[in-house]
Amino acid sequence: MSLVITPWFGKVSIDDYIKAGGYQGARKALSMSPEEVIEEVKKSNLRGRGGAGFPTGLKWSFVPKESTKPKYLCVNADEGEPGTFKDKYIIKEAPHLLIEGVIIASWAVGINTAFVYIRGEYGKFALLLERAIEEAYEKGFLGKNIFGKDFSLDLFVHRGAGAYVCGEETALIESLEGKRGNPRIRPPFPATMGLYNCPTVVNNVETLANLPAIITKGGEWFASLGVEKSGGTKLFAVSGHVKKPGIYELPMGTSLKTLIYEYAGGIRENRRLKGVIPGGSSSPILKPEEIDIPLDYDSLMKAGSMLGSGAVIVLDETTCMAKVLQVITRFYAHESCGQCTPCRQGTPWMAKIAERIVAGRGRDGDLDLLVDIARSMMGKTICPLADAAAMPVIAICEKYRDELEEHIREKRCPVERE
Amino acid sequence: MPGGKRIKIIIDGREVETEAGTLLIKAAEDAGIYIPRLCYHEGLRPDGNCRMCLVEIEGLRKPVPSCMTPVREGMVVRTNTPALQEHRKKVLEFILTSHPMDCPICDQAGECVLQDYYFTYDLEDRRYLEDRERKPKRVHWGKNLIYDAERCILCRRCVRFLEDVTKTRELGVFERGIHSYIGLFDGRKIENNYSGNLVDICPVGAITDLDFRFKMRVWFLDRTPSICPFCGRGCNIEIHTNTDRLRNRFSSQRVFRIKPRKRPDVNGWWICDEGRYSYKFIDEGRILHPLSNGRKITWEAAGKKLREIIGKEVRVYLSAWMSNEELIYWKRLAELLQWKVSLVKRPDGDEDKLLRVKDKNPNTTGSKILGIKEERGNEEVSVVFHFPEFAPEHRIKIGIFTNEFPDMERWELILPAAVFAEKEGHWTNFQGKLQKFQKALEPLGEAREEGKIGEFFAGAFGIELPWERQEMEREFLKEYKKWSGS
Repeated sequence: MSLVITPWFGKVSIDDYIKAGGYQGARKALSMSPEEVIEEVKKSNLRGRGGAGFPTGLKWSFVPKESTKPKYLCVNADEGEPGTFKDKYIIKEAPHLLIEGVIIASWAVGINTAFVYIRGEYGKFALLLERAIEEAYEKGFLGKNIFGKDFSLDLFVHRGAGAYVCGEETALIESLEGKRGNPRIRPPFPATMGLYNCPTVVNNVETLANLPAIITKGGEWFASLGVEKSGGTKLFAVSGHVKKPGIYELPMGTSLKTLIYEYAGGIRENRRLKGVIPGGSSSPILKPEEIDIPLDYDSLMKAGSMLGSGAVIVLDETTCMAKVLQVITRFYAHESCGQCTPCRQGTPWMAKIAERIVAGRGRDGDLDLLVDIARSMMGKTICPLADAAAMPVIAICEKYRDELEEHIREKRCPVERE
Repeated sequence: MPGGKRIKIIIDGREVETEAGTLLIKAAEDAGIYIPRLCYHEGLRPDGNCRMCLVEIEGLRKPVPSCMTPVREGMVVRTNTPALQEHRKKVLEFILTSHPMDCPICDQAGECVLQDYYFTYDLEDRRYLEDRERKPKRVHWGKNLIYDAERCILCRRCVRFLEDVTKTRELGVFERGIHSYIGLFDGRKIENNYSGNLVDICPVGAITDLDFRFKMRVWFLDRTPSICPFCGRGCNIEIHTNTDRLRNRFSSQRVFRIKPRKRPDVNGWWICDEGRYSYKFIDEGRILHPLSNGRKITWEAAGKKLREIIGKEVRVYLSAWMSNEELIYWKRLAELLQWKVSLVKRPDGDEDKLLRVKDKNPNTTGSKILGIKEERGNEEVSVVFHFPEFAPEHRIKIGIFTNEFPDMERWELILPAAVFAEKEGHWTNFQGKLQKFQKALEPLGEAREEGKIGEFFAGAFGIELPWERQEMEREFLKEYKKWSGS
């Protein structure tokens, strides 16, 4: 099986990385024209790995070419979606893969300044990345006249302060500017008015880490690894009730069932599966009968869920769904920035109802109310956080209705026993 | 974008012509289609946070905030679909989940957007049965501002006002999500000269005014359009009064507050704090009767006294607080009586880049148009309007004043004058704009408006010059046209 990212894991120092063939992609990219690089990335069917799955080449092409303003690249290393830990591994295991990707993207779009916005909790990895950046400067891969070309690039690491919403690209930009991390209303989009009101590309760590291979081996090769419209491989961060949780790199389109039962070793203590959250806490849950599904953006969308960031959370039969609801709603209530009325008021309302149900103080009609609150929030706010909070609630209430109703009626958990 | 080209859009099936670049919410409002809004304020940078003003635009997947959407040629907009009506109910329900519902003791009651919108767009039963978020209450922000974070709907109008209008930036949003509140930055207080506007722009009772709090239910206030007299700009204001003894538990207070009135080319939406809070002179310390060396006398006795003391040489000091009509009337009267005429006014004061101008008088321009100059004389008798400090010493002094001052007994005769809120007329502001102020109250005690006092003078000396304000308005307009060249 051809893999793109994980083979580089462990090549942490720049010498090890170069010895294994590192920085060839960047070198080659700089010998191509920026247009050729963008064309190659478009051919690769690379889609944003942060969760939204927007085609990367297309995103770059929205940046106006004839701009007198500087352009910026923001690397989104905020990785806040519960269940997600893939970017951490890339930074920890192959920081130069990310740096090389940054060089390629910057060359393609005409950027001379890039920032890595890394979540505050990743302090150790931020230091590691800074060390790797120093190494790259020493080798002349960053700074002035990279590879002898008339091209300069500076790369800075900026640590966030622990807000989930700062992973949303416009909130990330606000935070990077030193302001409160509130999402901006779009339009204008960052491609035309982003950081300091200049054209800006925001790309996820994993997205950028795919670029060196796309350049060295070609966009068509990368596209052929995956399925139609979802090129390449994907890092899946598997957590929960499996025997072998961890990071798995698999071609797009691999079955979710295969990932859980073959790669992650199946359910712990051979219990029965209860549900799978396939793409981070905001993706609607799948029931066991729904998991024979190809892991790619479009297939999961069709099934009413999302590939998201590829964070697969596996829940076995001992899981109380009311508690799942409580944990998820509490998270979004805690992380709502508070700008938009529906999200600010709706997320804690849902969390309070879920908390009551868990505590045995559920009421008749709570489930309908939860779904109604969730639906009232969706598509009505500046950023997708409200949708991210609403989608899992609707799915859990609809798919596990019997259990939740029993929990409300009996005023205690029907699943967890002493 | 002023001066932009005219374009056509369709709102709720109606063709609407508007200027390219206008915000949709404004274009609709100008066409008579009101889109409910909480965070949008015409005078502030739009923010799009309350989500109340969402509309549907053909070709767009999701509803968009009309306050953040500039119109485009051919745009087809729907503002009142069943889905949007439902959405508005939900936004109101969401807000009310945190609201303390203390309307009976809230000063905003009666002019609260939440109350009005609930009535107009919602009227649903309460479904929120959880605990309500507790937040800071009765926070003193400086000056007259009291903040209640529980009533606050976080529209951030106040924050934007201080960022963009005064540029003083005292406030920010603190905490996040449901715990968010508006707060002062460390070590700051609101001390700027426009603080009172925060009370006006707050759509709910989150920011209330210490000067007004708990004094009067707003629905018992009468509202009269007027002009602020405290500087040459002449900001457009409303005077809010109550003289109904059943509703008014204050024995002498008639004016309860001053509010700005929108006038884009003069004061926009705002007024300064001096203009807002200096109204107390209308009710307090007023001269209620004619006074002779400090002793109360009747108007009849005052007429007798006047004939006694007036000599051959008289100079009348008209004031830059008199209306155009009063100035031209008094100028004529002085001509008939062969008195000399001068102007007195408050000395210049502070100015700023927003509204306040140096000249602290409402009608300096009007007096200029009539050629009344600031000059001092040494005549035997002085008739002085409004400003006792201008009277020459050791001469016979006749004053026409509104408010008491020390050593009134040194004046041979003082006649009580009405204040601006007790009469109608026009002032000419520093831009040369004629602005009308209307009568909100009857003159207090035996006070008379200056035109009537002129008539009294005329009568005392057997001159036929009746005070006809409208006639004087027409006369002034002739002078005004000569002056402005129009």
